[in-house]
Amino acid sequence: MPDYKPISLVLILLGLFGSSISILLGFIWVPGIDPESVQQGSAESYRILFWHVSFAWCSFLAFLMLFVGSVLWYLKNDEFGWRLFSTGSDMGLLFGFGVITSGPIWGSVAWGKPWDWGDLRLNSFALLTAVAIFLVLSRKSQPDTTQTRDTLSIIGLFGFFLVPITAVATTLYNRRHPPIIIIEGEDTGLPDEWLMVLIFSFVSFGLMFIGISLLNDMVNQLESKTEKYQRIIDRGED
Amino acid sequence: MSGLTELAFAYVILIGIIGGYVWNLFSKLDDIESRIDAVENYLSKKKSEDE
Repeated sequence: MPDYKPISLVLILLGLFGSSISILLGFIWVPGIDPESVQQGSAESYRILFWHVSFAWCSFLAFLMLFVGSVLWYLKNDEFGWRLFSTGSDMGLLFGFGVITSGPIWGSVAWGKPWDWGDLRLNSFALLTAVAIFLVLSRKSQPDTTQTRDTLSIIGLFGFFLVPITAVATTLYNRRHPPIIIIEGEDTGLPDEWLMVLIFSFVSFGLMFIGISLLNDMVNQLESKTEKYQRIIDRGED
Repeated sequence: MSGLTELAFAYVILIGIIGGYVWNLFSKLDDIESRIDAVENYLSKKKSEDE
């Protein structure tokens, strides 16, 4: 098995450096929002967008990985599919957690409360992250058998159906969460500086995403290797 | 709390989440690698004893 440790470390450090620069640019370069246009709270809190949105996009990439892995495993019992599934669920949990941590902090300033139980986007995304938690914990606690993998991959498929619901929630059912603002429209669109920093932040997050995925994959592969050795030793001592 | 404080607080938490997760992955990797080395040594020793 190739050793991805050095390359993943480089990618993660580059990603962290780039995303930190995006915070800095967000504070010093990007123009502020007119305080009068903000319904509630501070206009400054909108600068969380540079990380919140990148976290969200990366989490969707992770759930896509989970979906492809689930399909590959369920239809073909493909080992690479299971690796995608395992890494996708780990990454979905990490990045999903980033989204539901940054969102409420911003929400408590912008809306006056951290969570709205009536908002479809917020709740469908929370459910998606809960599916990722369930998959990660089940994978770790259950024996690694074909039956376990089949069951978990079906749940992975179910989880992915929440992605389009979450994606269109702000367009079809807008309550609290801001609508899609990146696409230029009558009421939407971002100033050039905001867009540039957002894209820069997403690229940096992308590097970090690849680095952490490689590392996660390595850990998952080595864990199954340990389990195989464990079975060999158990058989030998019986 | 002012908006800026909230913002700084959020960024610190997020950096902490990523940093902690990556740190945990690296230490887990080191731990598993040393366990695998130990098992492989044990198995090769056992094999040579059987022979």
